[in-house]
Amino acid sequence: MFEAFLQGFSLLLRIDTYVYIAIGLTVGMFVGAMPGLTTTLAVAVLLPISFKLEPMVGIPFLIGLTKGGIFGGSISAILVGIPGTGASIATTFDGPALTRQGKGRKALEMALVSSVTGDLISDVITLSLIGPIALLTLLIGPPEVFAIIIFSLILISSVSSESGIKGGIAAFLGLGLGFIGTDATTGATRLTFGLEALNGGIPLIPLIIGVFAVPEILAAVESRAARFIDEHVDMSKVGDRLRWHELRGSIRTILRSTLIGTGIGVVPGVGQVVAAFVGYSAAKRASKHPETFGKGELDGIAGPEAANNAVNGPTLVPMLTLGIPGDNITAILLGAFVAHGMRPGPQIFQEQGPLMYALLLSFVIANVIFLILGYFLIKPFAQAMQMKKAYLLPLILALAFVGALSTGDTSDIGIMVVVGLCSYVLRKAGFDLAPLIIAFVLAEPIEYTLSQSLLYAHGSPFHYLFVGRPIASFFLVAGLIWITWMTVRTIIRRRRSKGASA
Amino acid sequence: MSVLVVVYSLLLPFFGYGVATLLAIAATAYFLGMRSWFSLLAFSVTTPVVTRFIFERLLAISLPLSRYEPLAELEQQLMGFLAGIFIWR
Repeated sequence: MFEAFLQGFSLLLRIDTYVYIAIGLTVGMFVGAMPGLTTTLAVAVLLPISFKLEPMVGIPFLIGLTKGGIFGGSISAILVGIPGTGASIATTFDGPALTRQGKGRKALEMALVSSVTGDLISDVITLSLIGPIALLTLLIGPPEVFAIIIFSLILISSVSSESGIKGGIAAFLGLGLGFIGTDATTGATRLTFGLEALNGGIPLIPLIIGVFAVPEILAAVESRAARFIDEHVDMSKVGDRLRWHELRGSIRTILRSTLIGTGIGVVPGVGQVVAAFVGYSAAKRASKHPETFGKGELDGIAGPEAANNAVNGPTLVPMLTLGIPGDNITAILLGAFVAHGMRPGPQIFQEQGPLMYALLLSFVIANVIFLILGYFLIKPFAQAMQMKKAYLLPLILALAFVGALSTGDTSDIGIMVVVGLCSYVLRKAGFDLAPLIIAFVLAEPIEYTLSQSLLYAHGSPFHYLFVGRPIASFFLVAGLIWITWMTVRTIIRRRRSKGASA
Repeated sequence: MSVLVVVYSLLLPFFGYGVATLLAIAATAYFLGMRSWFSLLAFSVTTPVVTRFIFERLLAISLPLSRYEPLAELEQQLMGFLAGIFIWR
């Protein structure tokens, strides 16, 4: 393992990796800063570019987009109180108040330093622990992997949507789409409705762009506002730079939130938004002057910003070691890994250890570039928020189509448009589509691990899974308990709300 | 806007990426409030040319050409011209 780690260093000695990280960070920050456009949109639309690059360049490019996007969201959150992305909602509690007090620049710089620190420490923790965790995952077999995937899907479906039922429906839709095509075991086609174009299954790129980019473009156009923000941002009135003593005063908050984000990142489906809120409330609880929170407190920026970026590294742990993505972006990353010939799962560190360590090391180094670029780009991106939508949205639309065309098959455009319009309707109906895409990418491993488990079970699958394999049994029972608890909680809440309205 | 996305996807196989994108960009930008004819023309012509050049020549992602020979020929010549300027061999 240590040898693979050292070999990984030699793969880092190439300039193009860092150039593409810098491009990814810049584009990510720019898109993240635009209210209404998410980091997922940027990653989805630019995913095909990564396919055309080598793994040591394409994957760090996507990571740069993610890191930059999460931070970019805080620029509009601080200056005008409109979160650029969901991860920066908690930053709006204190950001605008600081800007009104003439401390906008301090808040932006605090957000940058907190984001970079949270990201850096969580990446180092991930890098140190992922090897031993990967060794542990080698001890488990297909039944355990199957049970963990099912448990994760239940968790993701129940927490990512506003209603567990909608999350469950989205997950089933994703599984259904994932099962379309030719069965790898029997060679029989299924769910193709006689369409030969579907024999090979639904391709990942048009699906991802359809689910994430098309609805966002339609929603952004629908608002009919000419600009991303209406407020005028005067960067000459954002005040002085962040002082060392102010940063020192927030170091405990940054470290606390980093640990919170790291812990939350490992759990599939929870993600950056929750981490940011928990980071904020932990900072407020631990503060000697909690009454200042919400009125312009620098710790109120450091808390959520360190926590939401600290999620980045640990979300890669279940994705790389078990092949289970915890959120939208890791689902897309999983697709990128597979497209580059890397199959995340228990074997990946055995088969491609040096490359995995090189990638993880590049994510750590990316934070240094992140700090430098962020420092210089805060100001131009703050001004770019006022740009007209008419210049950016048509470009994103064209890029979405280029992405779908990158597969070389023009029929993929049809898949993207159909999926995109259906996703738009589903989003309007209150569905979060993260479970859909995660279930789609997990459909194949579910099928494989289930068929392997059934083979081992020799005709008695329930006894085998629930008695013969205690770890699998633990996760399956935990999943059933979780579903029961969520159902009971929903019934109680509905009865209470009915009682209150009566 | 949904209609525009559908129409764009239907036009692509016939008119190719260049012309279909030009029309889609002009329509979207107009829909979003761009009213200056000069801006509309400049933006909608530049975007497909630049994106085709970047994706096709620099990233080797081939984009569909028009089914009408003269249009396809024009696009190819334009890309060749830009490659001659920006790509040193």
